[in-house]
Amino acid sequence: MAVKIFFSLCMSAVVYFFIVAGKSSPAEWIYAGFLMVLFVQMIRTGDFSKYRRIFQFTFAFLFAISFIGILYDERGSMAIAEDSIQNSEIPFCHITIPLTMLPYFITKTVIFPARIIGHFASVISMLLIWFIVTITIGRGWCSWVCFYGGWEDGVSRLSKKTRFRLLSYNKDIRAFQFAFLFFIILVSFAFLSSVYCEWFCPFKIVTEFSQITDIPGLIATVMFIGLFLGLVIVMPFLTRKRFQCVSFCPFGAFQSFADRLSSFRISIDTDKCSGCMKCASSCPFCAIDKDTITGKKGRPEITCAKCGECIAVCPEKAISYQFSFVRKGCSGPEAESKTGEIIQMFLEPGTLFLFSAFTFSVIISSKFGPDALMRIFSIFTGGL
Amino acid sequence: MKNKKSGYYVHAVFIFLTAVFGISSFFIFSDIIGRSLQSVIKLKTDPSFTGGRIAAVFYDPVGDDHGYGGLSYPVSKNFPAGALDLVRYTVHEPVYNAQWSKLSDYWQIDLEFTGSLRYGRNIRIYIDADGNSQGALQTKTEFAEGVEFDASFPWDYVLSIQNNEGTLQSADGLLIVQLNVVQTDHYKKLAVRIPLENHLLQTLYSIDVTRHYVCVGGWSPAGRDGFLDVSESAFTPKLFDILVPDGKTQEQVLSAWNEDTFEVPVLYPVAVIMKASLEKSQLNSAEESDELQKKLELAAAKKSGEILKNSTEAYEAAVRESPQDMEKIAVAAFNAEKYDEAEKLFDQLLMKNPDSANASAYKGSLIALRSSKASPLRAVDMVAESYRYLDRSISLADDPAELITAFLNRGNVSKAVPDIVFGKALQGAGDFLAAGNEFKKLAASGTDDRKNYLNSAASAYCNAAICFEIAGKKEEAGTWFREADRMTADLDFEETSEVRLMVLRYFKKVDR
Repeated sequence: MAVKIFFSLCMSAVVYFFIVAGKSSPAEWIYAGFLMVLFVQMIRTGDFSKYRRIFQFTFAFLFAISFIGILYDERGSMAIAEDSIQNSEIPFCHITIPLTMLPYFITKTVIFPARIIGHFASVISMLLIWFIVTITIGRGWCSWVCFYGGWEDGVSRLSKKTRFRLLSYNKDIRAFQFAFLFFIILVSFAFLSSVYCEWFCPFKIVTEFSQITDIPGLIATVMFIGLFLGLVIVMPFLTRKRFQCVSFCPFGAFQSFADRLSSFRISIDTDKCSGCMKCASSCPFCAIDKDTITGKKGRPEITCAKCGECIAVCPEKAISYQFSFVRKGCSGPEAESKTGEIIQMFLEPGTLFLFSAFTFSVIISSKFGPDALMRIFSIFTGGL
Repeated sequence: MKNKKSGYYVHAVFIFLTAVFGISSFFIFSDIIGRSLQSVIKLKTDPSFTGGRIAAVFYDPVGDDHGYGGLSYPVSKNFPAGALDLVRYTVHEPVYNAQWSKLSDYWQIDLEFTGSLRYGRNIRIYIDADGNSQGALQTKTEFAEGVEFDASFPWDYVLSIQNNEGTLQSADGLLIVQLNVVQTDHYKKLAVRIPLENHLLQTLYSIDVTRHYVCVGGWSPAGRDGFLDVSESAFTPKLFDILVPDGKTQEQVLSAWNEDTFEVPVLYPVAVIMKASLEKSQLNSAEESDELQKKLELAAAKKSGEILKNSTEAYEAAVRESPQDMEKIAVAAFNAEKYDEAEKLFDQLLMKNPDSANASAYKGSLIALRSSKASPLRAVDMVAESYRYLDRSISLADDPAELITAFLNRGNVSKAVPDIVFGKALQGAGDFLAAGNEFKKLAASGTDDRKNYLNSAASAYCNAAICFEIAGKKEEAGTWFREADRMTADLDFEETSEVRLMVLRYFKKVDR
């Protein structure tokens, strides 16, 4: 109980500092309250996945409202204006990170028209965010921080049952994602341009897109609308998986590699596991195969985003968060005294992961959540 | 076994500390971390997005939009102050195969003005691209601007830019190409892209030097070639601002007309080395600049020591001689760095008169100063509170002295607080520029303190430039550092050491 209170108090300090402090509108307080309720529920019930889904869908929705609202305030349209490119004012998105790395080593420049520094969505701030996320929660970014992933999380829950089972295709889907990452890196390198953003990104529909002034522009528009409908709406609805995240997103694939540097992982206790495969069915990132269980690998596959769905459904409580430095099949040392037990409660990997991941959720959403709420309020009070 | 156990706990405690304190602290200090990182890795956006690599930048003095020196500014409200005041002219290297752009092959030229104007500028840029004697020496339309060109460098192409439209025309009139003109930054900047798809223009890719005559006039649908009439002599050039090469002044060049001999002024071009890729070095040798920096640091330290000493004496004198004048004592205490005492006095002043602009301004600064010693959680609240006072002081200020105090206080706070958390650097730049303009007005009013006011204006411009740098706007920073440099060039070395030091540091950074 003391541990739960301690972490709740710490989280309330984070929420206060990043959302409420120095501001006075009710939107900030409402959003702060919403986040605190989610966190307290997660830590109280131990059911991270359900409240995480609520957060991520809400964040994705509010992010889109806020982002589009800001675009309309600044340029009166969602279309990317020529002057925004010339002034390098296109927000730098995390998906662009792997695409700009190889060209950087050749050109010594960033092949994306974004501000380098001095802005929340500048290249340097996004790189710093990526770095700190990577060394703490790793690919947990996709399930706790990504402002796009919530769309799929939301849509995948609209259907009560899985209409199209992907379990037997997991390996192929993962292979496709990595192949696509390498393809897009090579193409970006060849054209010295972030080709994914120009041609493939389905989330342009909820952020910004190029003006349609010629045939290639029209083709790009048809492509991103089609990809959004197919990968973010239809497939998640049919499969109850984060289909775009697991098959197409280059950042997700890249972060799977970078996850090696993170502090946490998911551990499967092979002695307790009864092989019911509920975890594999529920995993939205196609990260648990039959082989993972039958081969007693003790951990999910490389695409695991630490969302906690498998932990929530496991009837044997065989799955848990673990520190990355603890070797597979091992666990932390037994406490030998009362003090040791208390210390271990504070150092419990699941709680520390939750706290780390939700801290990112709070900080990354701190600007967009209240801003979107203000915009929604203003619609009801007579103006946008 | 014991080692393994202690290893586990060391790792776990480290992760605990990272989770509970590390992540939040990282974000709180990300501005500082980011700037430190950028100073090492020096990331740049690919120049093809922003116009291509910069071949040359020319800085024109601020406030010289008076043509030959006596031209009256258009009185129409369509021409706000500074709208025709060219301050920066940037020529890029030609770009090919650009991404994310309507034009994949282009050559870009940027113009920046001090004031905003959406419709009303009429700009001609005459370019000598081949360096030979072929081309034209008269303006595109005879008697339009009222000038001629240096006989050594006849122009080959002219860019005619009116508002947000433009054309390129060759001197023989055979080639006409539409330009892509984008107005940005509230219509203060124009980015002019010349499409290079036409094979006749592709020679520009291989040219080493181009020479540019840049002419800025007002636009009028009734004027000859759209140039707003200046209704003085028929020979008065209808140009409010031009770019002149080093060693010449705009006034000197444009005043050279003679009605009796039918002479019109001759313009001289600025030369652009098309593959320079970097700004020209502003400094002499590294040794000389290091020596100068040491001298300036000494002079600035001496001066700031003197200022503090004088302020302390002024404070003691104010307490002794005018104990009733609470505001005077409070300001003196603030200047003498007796912040606790100053805050008490300003609190009392605000109790008596909540509408005191000066008290609000200083109170805001004092809260911000205190916030630097508070915990991050408290500091954010305190900075927000400080802005309530600072914003109020600007809305209450009703004379130049109060306005200057209000702008400088808010500017200083905006410069000091992390931009990534509060996003105030651009506002700070605006405040310093406003304060600098007020100082300049005072300097122009013919007082004995002219030099002091000019120094203060230059100092405000330097601070504005620093704010622009913080906000990532390097070009604007360059404009205002150079303006400060120009303003202090004829002033006393010791007195202006602080400004000179800021400028020198900037030039050294640019040179690196």
